[in-house]
Amino acid sequence: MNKKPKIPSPELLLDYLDGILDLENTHRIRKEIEESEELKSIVDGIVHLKELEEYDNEQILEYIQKLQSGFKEEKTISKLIPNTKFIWLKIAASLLLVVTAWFVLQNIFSTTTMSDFVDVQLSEIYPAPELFRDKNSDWTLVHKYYNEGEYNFAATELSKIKTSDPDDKAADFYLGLCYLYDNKTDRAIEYLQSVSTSTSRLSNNAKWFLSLAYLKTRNEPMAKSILTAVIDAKSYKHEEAQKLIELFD
Amino acid sequence: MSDELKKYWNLFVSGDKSAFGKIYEHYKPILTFYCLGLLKSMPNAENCSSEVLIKVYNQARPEEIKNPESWLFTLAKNLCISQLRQMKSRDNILHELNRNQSKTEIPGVELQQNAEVINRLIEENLNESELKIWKLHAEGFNNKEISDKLDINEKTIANRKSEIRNRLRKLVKQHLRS
Repeated sequence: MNKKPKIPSPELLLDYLDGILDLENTHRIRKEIEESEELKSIVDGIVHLKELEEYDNEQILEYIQKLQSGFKEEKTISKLIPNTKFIWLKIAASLLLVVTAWFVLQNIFSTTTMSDFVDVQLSEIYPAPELFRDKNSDWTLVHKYYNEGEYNFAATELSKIKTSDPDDKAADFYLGLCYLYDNKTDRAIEYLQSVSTSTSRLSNNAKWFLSLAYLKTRNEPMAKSILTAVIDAKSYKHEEAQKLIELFD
Repeated sequence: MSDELKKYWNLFVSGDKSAFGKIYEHYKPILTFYCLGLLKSMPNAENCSSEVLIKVYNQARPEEIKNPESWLFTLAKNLCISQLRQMKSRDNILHELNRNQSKTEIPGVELQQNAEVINRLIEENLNESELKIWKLHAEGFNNKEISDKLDINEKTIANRKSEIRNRLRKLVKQHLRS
């Protein structure tokens, strides 16, 4: 009957932690927490405030409200001009504040359109290597560290795999990815380049990430050349490559 | 993402930057607590959540984002991982990320064993209107949604919830002492 939002609010989680919800919803939220890494972290954050920062419940609720109100510039300006007779002044001041805030945000935080696009693409992490490779325990560790975002440690394990099989292109591909996610772009390019020019089944995937790596190092000619190849071959991420190439001047 | 948030997200995607205010209002506390759970530092958690929301605000093509909520958390997690890597040793990072047991075993949650008693306390001590408000709150509806469903002023809902909360906490404390 009632549709449920996906993530319980911190306020609701606080009530859950205090044990003042009904039986059905207590069980429901507990189950959701057990099944969600995000919720576990949110709960840990609330517990941190309670136990280490020693916030009481009222302080936590006030803190939540303070966080929520961070975007309300117009209401702040209204409070500075109490006399309602000068409503025109309020409106003008509000507009000035909004326009100024927009310019400030654009200037301080502006990034190129292409950079935004690259960031979005890199925030979608490529799936971890399949675990059928667990005949070699190093791949199990690669899988574990990669999934945990420990790209540095995953790269160390991949280097061990390379020692026993220097021609392992899957290892090269994942090394390239690990270095890319770890902001070691020059090393990423070295490995992704090797895979992209090979006959490996991952060569097309490598081309896409290689183009992103070149864009991170601002080597637009190389990036453009690879993106064109991706588009012409209609290979992995060719639609995204088309959108990205349109962002070039 | 709830239907209401999806509506604001779609407005934001279509160019209405003011709709971002509702997105911010909803996700700022959630992301801050999420980052706080990972980083265990309030200033760093607030900075991380701000950085994520600024990225959203400045996103040139938000329509490219297929699952906004998931993307927010992915971005936040990656930022937290970068921060942790700078701040801590390998063992501490693995400890932070590998905990399987979340902190659901804290004192308040021990009351799950007495959950039926709590249920009775709720039913006996809240009137009909308060029961409806509290049930909708427990099901995850925000004050505006409860206000729409019950046709009660939103501020009244917030005040009633606060009263109910304080009353129930006192009752639970009395129950624990007895």
